[in-house]
Amino acid sequence: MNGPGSKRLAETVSSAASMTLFLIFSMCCLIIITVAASAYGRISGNYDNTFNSAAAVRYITNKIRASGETEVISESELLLRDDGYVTVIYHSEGAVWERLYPEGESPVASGGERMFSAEKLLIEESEGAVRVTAEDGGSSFTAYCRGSLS
Amino acid sequence: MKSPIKSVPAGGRLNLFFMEMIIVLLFFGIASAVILNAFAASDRLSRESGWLERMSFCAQSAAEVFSATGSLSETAEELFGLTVSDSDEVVVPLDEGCVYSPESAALLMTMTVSEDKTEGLMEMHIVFTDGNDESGETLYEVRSGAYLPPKRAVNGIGR
Repeated sequence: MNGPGSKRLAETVSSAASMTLFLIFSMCCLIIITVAASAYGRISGNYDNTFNSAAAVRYITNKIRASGETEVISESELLLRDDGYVTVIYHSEGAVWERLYPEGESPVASGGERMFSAEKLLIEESEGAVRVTAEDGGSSFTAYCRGSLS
Repeated sequence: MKSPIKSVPAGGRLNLFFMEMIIVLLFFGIASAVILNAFAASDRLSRESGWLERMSFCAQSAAEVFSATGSLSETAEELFGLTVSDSDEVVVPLDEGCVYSPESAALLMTMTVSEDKTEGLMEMHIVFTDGNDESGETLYEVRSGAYLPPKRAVNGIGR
């Protein structure tokens, strides 16, 4: 039983077992990497979806609170008056834009600085407050803010 | 009858590789268990932070509308389209997106209003609890105060 034939068989079995273990190891590595990529993708997607819309709503509500007078021009245009300047916040080309004008100039909702990407921006007056809704990446946030409505 | 595997001399190259692989797999198993746990926890935390953000928006909106209207029933109607009688406490069942959902309440939003001894100073207490937890674990809580003179809201203070 301990001849060269059985020795060769033992070596074959041993190397096959080692190779099988290595295969299992490789498969496990692959599974872990897939799970990690999926978890990262989910977390990153969730962050991307919520960040723009939430940040846009927070930014606009804070601007309303800080401004002296708030005027809702249309569903996607807001005018904020302060001492010496006027701010126009509007939605265009899938983004929220902001533009400052000196007092006395007639403000127009064009140009300015691109603030956040948002598929939709809705600004309404409701119950003495301003209702701001921003939507981006399938995620939508709404907040009410009491400003000095004109 | 002796097994042919035993005939491989101890300390042979293949046996060493075999042993090494077993040890590597053992460590890999332990490490992957820890890593998978961390992935699951980070995923849960990410979802929870999203819910908390929605809850904070919802609480902020409730406080703002209440300071504008001075009525809890009007606040519930404006925010959730819910018709309730005017009382000092309103409980609203919400889903994970903070949308009114009486069928599947993942969250319960309780708005309580109490009047301070100082005339016109109202305090609103907003609590979000887990709708699936019988003990009602508090997930988010905020207190806000608003000065509401008897006729109508004039000025509000929120924190």
